[in-house]
Amino acid sequence: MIEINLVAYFLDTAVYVGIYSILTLSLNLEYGFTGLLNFGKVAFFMIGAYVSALLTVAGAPYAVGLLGGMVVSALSGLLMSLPALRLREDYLAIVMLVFGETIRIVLKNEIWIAGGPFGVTGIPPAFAFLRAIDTEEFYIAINVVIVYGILLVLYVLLETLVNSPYGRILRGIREDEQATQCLGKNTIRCMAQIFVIGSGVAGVAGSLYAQYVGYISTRMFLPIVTFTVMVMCILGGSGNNRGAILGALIMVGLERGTRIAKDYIGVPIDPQNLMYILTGTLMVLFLFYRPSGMLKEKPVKQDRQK
Amino acid sequence: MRKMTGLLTLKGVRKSFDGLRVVDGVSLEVKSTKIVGLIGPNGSGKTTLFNTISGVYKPDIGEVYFNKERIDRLPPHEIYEKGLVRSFQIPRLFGKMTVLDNMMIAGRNQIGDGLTNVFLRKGKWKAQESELHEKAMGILEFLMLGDLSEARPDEISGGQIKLLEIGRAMMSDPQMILLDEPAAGVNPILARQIFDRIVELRDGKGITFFIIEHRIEFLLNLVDWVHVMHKGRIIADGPPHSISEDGRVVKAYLGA
Repeated sequence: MIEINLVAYFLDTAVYVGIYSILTLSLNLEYGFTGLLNFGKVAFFMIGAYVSALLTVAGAPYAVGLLGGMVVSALSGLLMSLPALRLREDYLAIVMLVFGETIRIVLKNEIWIAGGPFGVTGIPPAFAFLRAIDTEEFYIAINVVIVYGILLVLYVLLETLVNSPYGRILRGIREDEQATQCLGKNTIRCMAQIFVIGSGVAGVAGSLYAQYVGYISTRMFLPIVTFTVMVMCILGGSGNNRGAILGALIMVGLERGTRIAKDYIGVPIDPQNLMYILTGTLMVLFLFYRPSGMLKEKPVKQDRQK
Repeated sequence: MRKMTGLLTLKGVRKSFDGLRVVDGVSLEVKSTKIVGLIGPNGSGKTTLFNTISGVYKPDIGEVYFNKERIDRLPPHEIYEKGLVRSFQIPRLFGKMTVLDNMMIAGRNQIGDGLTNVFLRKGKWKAQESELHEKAMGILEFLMLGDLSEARPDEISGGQIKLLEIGRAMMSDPQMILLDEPAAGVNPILARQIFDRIVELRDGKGITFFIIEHRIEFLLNLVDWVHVMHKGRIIADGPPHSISEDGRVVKAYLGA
């Protein structure tokens, strides 16, 4: 009989919800607000994770790893925006998807970069003192604090951004880029900036993930991650940052819930498949009956004076 | 070389698509604080000419001057910042944004349009936002759209959309507005109201208008000057009464 640590399990779920929330917030900025269909989101999550992991394994403090992951990821976003912004939305999606897969396959085959298929092992946790602590709950609880602290900061910054005149330009680009340009806005510059910010935020999520799990390999960064995040964004409500977080909560809950459920109810199918079936069904139902997601997009906040 | 006296001056502007000369050597002048019409049969190149003036297309050859400054190599957003604004033939409003946000996005020189300013100069742009809000509401009232500020363009009528498109152009206090068929698909009463507003704006704020319109019966009562376009060229121009009697114009329209 295996003893299950329930407290650790719930805290662990919370950490995953937090990390996915950050990732969904970044996609929401690009897709939800600006309409940029980034099918390569996982690439920037992966770049953040690898850069941060390699730096901290080499002995750098965690802050350096986090910053490094964020900056390299943001720069990759800038680099990708150069070809991507010349493309229409569906082609943009394809290019980004290919970019993510290219990076992943190179990392998998070039063992000298980061261990190839064996991945990077022994990634130190964010705080060195955590290594001395042997209770699992405490270790995870500290991670909850770190992840949610960063999530809160990012949430506040992104909310400020999307509720400003700049945020209005982003929505304008989503609705009609050329018309936005004809209203005096430098849309190309805005979209490049959004790719940089979105990628940087995804890099932060990757860095948090790497230090929490302690081990990363290319198997963790398949395109399905991007699509999962996309589902979180659409279910929760694209163009609504709280919706993004809610979407992450639901999807992680669904994934874990189906695994638990199999012990209590006799499901004749693999729980992993049950999750995919439920996700697909939910997606279809939402797109038919509530395309705006659970939480609707709100207009740019005004201090409405009467 | 002729001296430039107009607010907007075009010199030999040509624009081709796959060898087809849609705009074929157009030279014209629009004088300040006038309402100037541009008429011509379908496919004569009017909208392409507007697109070339507003920077959506770059002319193959020829020059465009606004306030004696050459603008034909500038991107659309820089031309807008110079005070030359255009509307679209098929209104291109932001369907999922409120009427108010559709108006406010059009404000010129907004501090909060810059990414770093959003965080570093929050007080400044917040103050600007309330000014912009007040201004937008003023214009919406003027266009009889005041009650719809929180609605979305998807939810209002076609005529109101046309008005909103004009309102959006007014937000930036432009010197000149290019209107592409402001009365198309609008009932005659509302069309007359739209044109009344245009005259008020010229007289009250000194805005210059350059208007494409198919409803010549409205246009000729309104404008100070008309240019007639046919197959990419300006075939006639003059005060409205002379144009309506011009044989070339009748021929271009009737194809006789």
